Amino acid sequence: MTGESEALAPADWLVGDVGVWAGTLGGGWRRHGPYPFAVQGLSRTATDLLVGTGHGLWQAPIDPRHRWVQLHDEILTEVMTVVRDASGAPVAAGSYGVSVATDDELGFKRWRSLTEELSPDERYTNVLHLEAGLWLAGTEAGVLISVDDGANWQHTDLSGSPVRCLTRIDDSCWAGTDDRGLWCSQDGRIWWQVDCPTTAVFSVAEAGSCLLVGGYDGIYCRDAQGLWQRSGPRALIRCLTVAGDVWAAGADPGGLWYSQDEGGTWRRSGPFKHVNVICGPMGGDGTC
Amino acid sequence: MLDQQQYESQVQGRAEEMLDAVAAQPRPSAWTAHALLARGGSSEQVTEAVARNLSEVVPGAGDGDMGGPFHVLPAMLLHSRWEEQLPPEAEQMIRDFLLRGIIVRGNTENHWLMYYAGNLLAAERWRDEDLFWDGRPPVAMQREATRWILGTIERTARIGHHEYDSPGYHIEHMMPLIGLYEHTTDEFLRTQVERVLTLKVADMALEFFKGSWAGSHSREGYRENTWTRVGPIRTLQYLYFGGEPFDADQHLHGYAIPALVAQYRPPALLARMAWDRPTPQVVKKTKAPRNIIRHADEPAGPVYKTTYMSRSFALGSAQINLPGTAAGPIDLVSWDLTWSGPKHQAKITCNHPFQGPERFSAFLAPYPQNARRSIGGGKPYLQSVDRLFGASPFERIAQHEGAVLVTYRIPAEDEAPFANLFLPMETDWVEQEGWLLADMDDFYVGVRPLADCHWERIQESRNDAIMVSNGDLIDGWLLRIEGPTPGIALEAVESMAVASFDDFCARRVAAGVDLSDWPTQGRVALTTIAADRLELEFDGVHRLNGEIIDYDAWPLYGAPEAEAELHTGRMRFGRGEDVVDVDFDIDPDQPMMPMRVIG
Repeated sequence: MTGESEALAPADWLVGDVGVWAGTLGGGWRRHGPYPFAVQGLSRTATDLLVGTGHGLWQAPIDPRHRWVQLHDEILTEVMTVVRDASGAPVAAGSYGVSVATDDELGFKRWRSLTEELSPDERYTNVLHLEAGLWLAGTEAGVLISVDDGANWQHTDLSGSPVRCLTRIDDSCWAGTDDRGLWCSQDGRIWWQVDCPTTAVFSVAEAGSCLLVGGYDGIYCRDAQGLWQRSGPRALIRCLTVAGDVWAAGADPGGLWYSQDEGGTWRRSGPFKHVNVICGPMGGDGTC
Repeated sequence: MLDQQQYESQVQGRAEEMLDAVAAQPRPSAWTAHALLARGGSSEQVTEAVARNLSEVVPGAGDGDMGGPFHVLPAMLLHSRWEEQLPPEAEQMIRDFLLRGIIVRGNTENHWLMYYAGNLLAAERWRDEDLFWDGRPPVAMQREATRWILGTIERTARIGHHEYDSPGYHIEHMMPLIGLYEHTTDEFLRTQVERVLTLKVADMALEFFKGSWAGSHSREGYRENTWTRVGPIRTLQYLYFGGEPFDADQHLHGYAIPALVAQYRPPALLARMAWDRPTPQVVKKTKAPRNIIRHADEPAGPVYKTTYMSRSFALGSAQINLPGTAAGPIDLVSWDLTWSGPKHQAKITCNHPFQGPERFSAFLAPYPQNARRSIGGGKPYLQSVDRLFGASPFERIAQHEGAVLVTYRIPAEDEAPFANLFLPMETDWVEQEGWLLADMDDFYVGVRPLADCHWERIQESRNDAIMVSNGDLIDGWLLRIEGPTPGIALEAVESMAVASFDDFCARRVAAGVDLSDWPTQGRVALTTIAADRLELEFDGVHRLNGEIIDYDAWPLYGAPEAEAELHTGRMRFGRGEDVVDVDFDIDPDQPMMPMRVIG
């Protein structure tokens, strides 16, 4: 480990495990503040870091010597994912659905669930994807869509299976499911199943002309010819991040792995055991 | 009739006796240091107790300043009660923890109540500080905690307690509430807390059976549900209900010690209700749903409890109303027969040891692929196919007074396609036409497995690393009832209700169990020796003498000395002139605070 008082730098990778860790894949890691929460979601800007955890939502300052600030209240519990809307305001999601916040008269966050009336499976949200006029929630019941900033939600074609990941690659949205493999959509509403060698897909990323998929038993890479090849540790690959020519994979359990030769060789990095989220350096692909 | 003053004097006498015993114990904790302070013990010991509590490592990377509900609550109960007497080092440690530590809420209802109660007391105490431990001014936590505590009190008053009637965890509801009653500066909150404390003690009294807590429990510990006296609630049972000689081994548990120095006293009539039941009675309760966060396309339904409190035994069960086929709360006990007797020798219960990993991920965040190992790894007994506790989504129960039908339809692919029936070993069982019959002196019991079964011995011990030689956790007979449609019929009757044990056996066997539609049509019926016919249709209606049992009409409380309708926030306990009315002043048209925890 390197110095724990070192501020976050734009070139740092961030890893969410027990706490937020900053560093470089081939170098040392330092925990960002003495907060040993189970970190599941990160949203990073130049001035702050939102940290979604099993113990709510926190705002971590760039300087780890400063205290984290609690952003959740009694309504917001486990946060599986945190993103920002067009105004930069946090949208958090987790075991009790998708929530947004307003400030009370003293400036403290009060959260409101946008999905309170849905069933448990429709409410439980593993991942969120926000674009202007298009909010997608990857839930235990499939992908739900909202075109009015979360006020109303509808089912999509992708229903009846837990959705573990959602990501935009070029003009398509990709979703990974727990038991029905990989899906793709142009508009978020109509989905079709994509040939994929694993039925459990926990993470998806683009690496040049390759599509990377994290399954229960390792990383699958689809090349430009559509051929799949498995590589990396045979572990549950919860997150995949690509920044330049570096591929990073978070295994739960199994820790952090990276490859600099397009999946030919994978090396484990850092003290991690359960990696839930990885952010690449700022200003490039793979940031969060 | 015991008046309130006499009753409080008795409680105080028991509290003093208990404090003497606790103060003499070595190695005090932050919970038990109250006794030291009350008895003028050494300040070094108090400081050591606080230091141990706050330096305890909570899973997370060895961060000494990180704590949770079990740190913040005892710390603040101690600080709030004894601030003037606390050694300066201890006072400073608590202050630093609350102003600069890291504290997590946990993930059950009792965790949140302890967390918010402790934090509220701290936010009130240090309201003038710039920043609380959470990076916000203390007023932010004060507001948040107050909202949640009031919200959960209101839920309890309207739809029942979520983490209901738990011998293990009721204490973790009582202690934060007693702490708030004693120390909060918010008078409205204090008023609501006093009201809900009456409900919580009434819950204890209504099913109190000679030192046991009879009936179904949301949680009854791990491998403790064959015991007659279970959990730290025994301390409050003795403190508030008395009725037997003090026994330090049975009546003392650290979590309850702050109650011994508290001013709070429940209404005297609840102690009378706990011991004085002139006639057998049925206690009905509605409890809040077992909240499921996923693996369900509909929410869980309310829990409807039935507990028959007879003179010599108590039989209790519940309609758990779990949706789907995934959820099985891991330490729920859906039914048992209990009577007065030694550990392991006075309980009958059965269950399906549901193994599905979704039973973990239905309530907690890990993926189903990881949940079994990540949660079961720390609690390996949850993986045992000999398990006698824990809910199953494939169980259905119907009860009428001292008779119960417990049935299962277990999918063929289930890893444990059978039921486990626990029977006490020192009982002289008689087998007759499939019935197992026993003379318990004061009452008789008959148990009829609904499928083939095999006798096994079960013996489990805390000290099981190498060899189990002493069944201090479980010791008795395990009857494995073959699946996929196992079950039992059971009837218990007072011995005075029949001419003799032989008469009971003859009548019980003759009355029989109607299995003509079981398992083919999913219907089974039991005729009691009093000629009542109890019918259970799996996933269908239950009937008593042809009339459908209307669970939708279940009251929040229904018993000879308890009445309350759902959603009203009003209850009456007692009889004649000796009554306590509770009114939470609730507007039933207002929405409830969403429940955000399991428990």
